[in-house]
Amino acid sequence: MGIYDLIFGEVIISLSARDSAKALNICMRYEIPHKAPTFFEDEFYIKMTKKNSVYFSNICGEKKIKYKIVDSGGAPELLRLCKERVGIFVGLVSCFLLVFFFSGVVWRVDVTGNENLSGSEVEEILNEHGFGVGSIIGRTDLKIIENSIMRDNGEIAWISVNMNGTVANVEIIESKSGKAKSKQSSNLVAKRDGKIERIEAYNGSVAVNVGDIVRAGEVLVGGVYESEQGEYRTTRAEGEVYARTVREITVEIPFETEEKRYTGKRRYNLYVNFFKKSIKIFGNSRNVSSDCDIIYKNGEVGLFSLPTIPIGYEKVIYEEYEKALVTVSENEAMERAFSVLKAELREISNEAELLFKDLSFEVTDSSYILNCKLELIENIAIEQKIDVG
Amino acid sequence: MKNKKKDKAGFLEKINKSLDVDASLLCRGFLAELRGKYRIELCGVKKILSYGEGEMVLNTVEGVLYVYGRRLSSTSFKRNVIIIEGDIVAITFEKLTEALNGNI
Repeated sequence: MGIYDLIFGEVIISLSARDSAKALNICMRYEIPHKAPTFFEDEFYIKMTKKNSVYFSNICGEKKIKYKIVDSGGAPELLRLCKERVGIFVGLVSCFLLVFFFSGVVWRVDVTGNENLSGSEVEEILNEHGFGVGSIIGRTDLKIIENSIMRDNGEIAWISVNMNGTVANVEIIESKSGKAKSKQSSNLVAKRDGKIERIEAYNGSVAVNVGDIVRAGEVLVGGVYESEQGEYRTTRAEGEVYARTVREITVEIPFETEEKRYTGKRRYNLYVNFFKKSIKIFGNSRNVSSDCDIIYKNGEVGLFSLPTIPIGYEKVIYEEYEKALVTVSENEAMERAFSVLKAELREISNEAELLFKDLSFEVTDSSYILNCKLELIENIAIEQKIDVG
Repeated sequence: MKNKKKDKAGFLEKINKSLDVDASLLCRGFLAELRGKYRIELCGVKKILSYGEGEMVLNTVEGVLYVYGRRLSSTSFKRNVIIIEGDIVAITFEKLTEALNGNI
């Protein structure tokens, strides 16, 4: 089969040997190109293109000449088979498109060399500069991205992005100095009243002594000092000043409160995340009220121990609630008051040393009130900037 | 052109000797010998009356042409020009008036 026959298709027609002359006369009279007329046993065979065979068949039909198409080949025949098996054709085209498209896109970003910055933080920095999962390989200039990240980000001293297939290997070296120390002149002042117990000053001039009673706002460590030449100089006062202080905590729990109660009504939207795109595939949250909790659930696709691919799903759940008036008993109110107090004490004990605690309570018509008096030793020094005019 | 005419004449003479064909008969067509097979091209063929591997009967403008041989086949038949290939043994011709008188 030649190229012409391959493109336009070739058909072999068989007729009775007696009708051979009639067939050739039809071809001559109606100018139907044909070739290879042969005899085999009692049959006469002739070849022509698929298009011409349709014309020839019509004429044979009109002249009542019996014929049979015994074989066909070429592109039209292949297309006919593909029509009956669309899936193969669609599958082949899809496969070709998928391979072509997805091999030119970044699938994963691997970060190495990071200590203080997490991998996701580095990825976020890359995204801000136009590179990440879903970026087209070859279209982004990696050198420009590297230089702009080093210029804009003080925490990264050096960064290198190398493509290994569809995986971006990012190596970073973080800046050793971290946050730069402030050079602003400042004093250390007391944030609350107290009696000085211990002073640890690293810089500046100490203005108080151990045992002194200080008020809130009083200078504890000064940042202004007089030099030997009689001039005044400023510096940043640094240090810690521990003092004995007294704090009062009051917790009030009303007997009637508004509580959140879930109605049981749940709606959700389902999204498919495809690289950077999010496509909504299902949703029934149109009439959800504004009083609802929104829960986000994300999932990524991964096969066994293979790395996850940037295709996943996101389910956004809307759970409706209503506010209802609830009455609590005195015991319940007391329990709630104590649990709130416990949480506050836990927070205070992280930064202070608890010496003494005195509890008292009061029950009114509308609420349960719990009072707690604390005696602590804590660092009361806070920085106050000096405006040098 | 001149050489082609000379070659054609030489061919015709050669075929004439081997096939015993009247030269005037072939003046409207061209006969060539190709690897032991003959290839004859004839003009003015109105219709094929009979087609077979051993015998072909052609209706021309001037009469009826009979081609005898072995493994005969028509490789082209368009615009009243037919090309026949095969082991041509003999070619005879009946003029129109004779054909009308005959059983055609």
